[in-house]
Amino acid sequence: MPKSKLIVNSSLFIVILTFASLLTVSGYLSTVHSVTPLEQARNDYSFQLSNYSQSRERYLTAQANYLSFKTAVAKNEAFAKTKDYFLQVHNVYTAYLLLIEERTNVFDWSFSSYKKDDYIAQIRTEDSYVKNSQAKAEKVQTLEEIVPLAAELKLHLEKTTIPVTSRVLATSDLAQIEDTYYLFRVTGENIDNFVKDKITDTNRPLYLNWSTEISGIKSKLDTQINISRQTLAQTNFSSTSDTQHSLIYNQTQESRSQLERARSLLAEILDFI
Amino acid sequence: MKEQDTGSMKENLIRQEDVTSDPEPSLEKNVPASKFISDQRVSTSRAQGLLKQLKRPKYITLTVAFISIIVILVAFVAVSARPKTQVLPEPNTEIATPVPEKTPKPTNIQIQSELDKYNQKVEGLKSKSRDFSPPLLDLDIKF
Repeated sequence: MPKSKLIVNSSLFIVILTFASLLTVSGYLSTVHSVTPLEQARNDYSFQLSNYSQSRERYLTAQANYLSFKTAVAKNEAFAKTKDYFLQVHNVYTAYLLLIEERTNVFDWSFSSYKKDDYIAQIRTEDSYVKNSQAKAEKVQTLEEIVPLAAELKLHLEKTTIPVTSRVLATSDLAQIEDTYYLFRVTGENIDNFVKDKITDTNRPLYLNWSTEISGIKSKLDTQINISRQTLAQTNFSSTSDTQHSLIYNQTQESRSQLERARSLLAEILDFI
Repeated sequence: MKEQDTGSMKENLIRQEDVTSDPEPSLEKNVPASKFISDQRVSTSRAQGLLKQLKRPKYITLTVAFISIIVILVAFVAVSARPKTQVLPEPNTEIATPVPEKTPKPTNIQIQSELDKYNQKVEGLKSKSRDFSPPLLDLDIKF
């Protein structure tokens, strides 16, 4: 075989081998590092926030130029950058609403006292509002049209959208605790039924103490969850800050601690049968 | 035959032996310098020809394959080599009576599955509220 042909064949072989290796490695990495819908929504939201920051800088620069020079060209540039910025605000909120929706999808609402569909419907109503506002923003042709649209959007976000998302988040936190609590009760009962006939007389005091410990956790969780439900029902989610949601989240922290503690406790008795 | 004749014959024989026993010095004395140089040129050209042949892909491939085989062989030998000071323990000659293994009962597997699911749910409770704070955007657009 001529030398040139050998070199060509060898190069082709090396290229094919490298490509096959890259495919294998990327396939392995994609299975190991697969992204959940919640993580994807969070990535999209971060991306839109990043775009928002860049867009805002351009808008502020164009605004300053126009306010300084007051020429038609400066105004046109200000209009273009402001419109772009205003549309980006819509993108951010669309991504944020999707993130909230994905937050509601990470657990099963079947064993909660709240109905998931009600809260999903509220999120989607807000999403429709944002999309309608975005459609209006895309049609504007002058700088003067943008100002009232921005004011209208700001008012709606403060009065409606953010309170809705805050309530949905707080309800999701509590509903998820209720779901976990339900599984704690079921698992505890199954373990108790499995163990009670197998426990020896030597280990009976241990079993009885285990049972009372489990009952104690159950009682505490009942009380805490009821209080959280009442707090949630009485909370007025009107503020634009995250205060109300944080309040509920902090209140349910004790429930989380009890459920965490039950992890090792539930399995402990199985070592003594 | 007379002694004179044998003596002269002997001398002739001795001269002939001298001639046959030392051919090279006489040849070296007789070879011209140009022929020696051409011989050297022949040997270098042969060497060059040999080098050219070795540069051919076929021989390169064979050489690389041969070296690879040697390296792999040495690696295997190195891996399988045991240190001289290592003393292998004697095999245990005790014959253990067979003990039936505890097979997990279906109920136990179900409970383990429920425990795993519970652990997973508790892990899922660890999302922080700050991860979902609303965006703080500037919508005070004024000109």
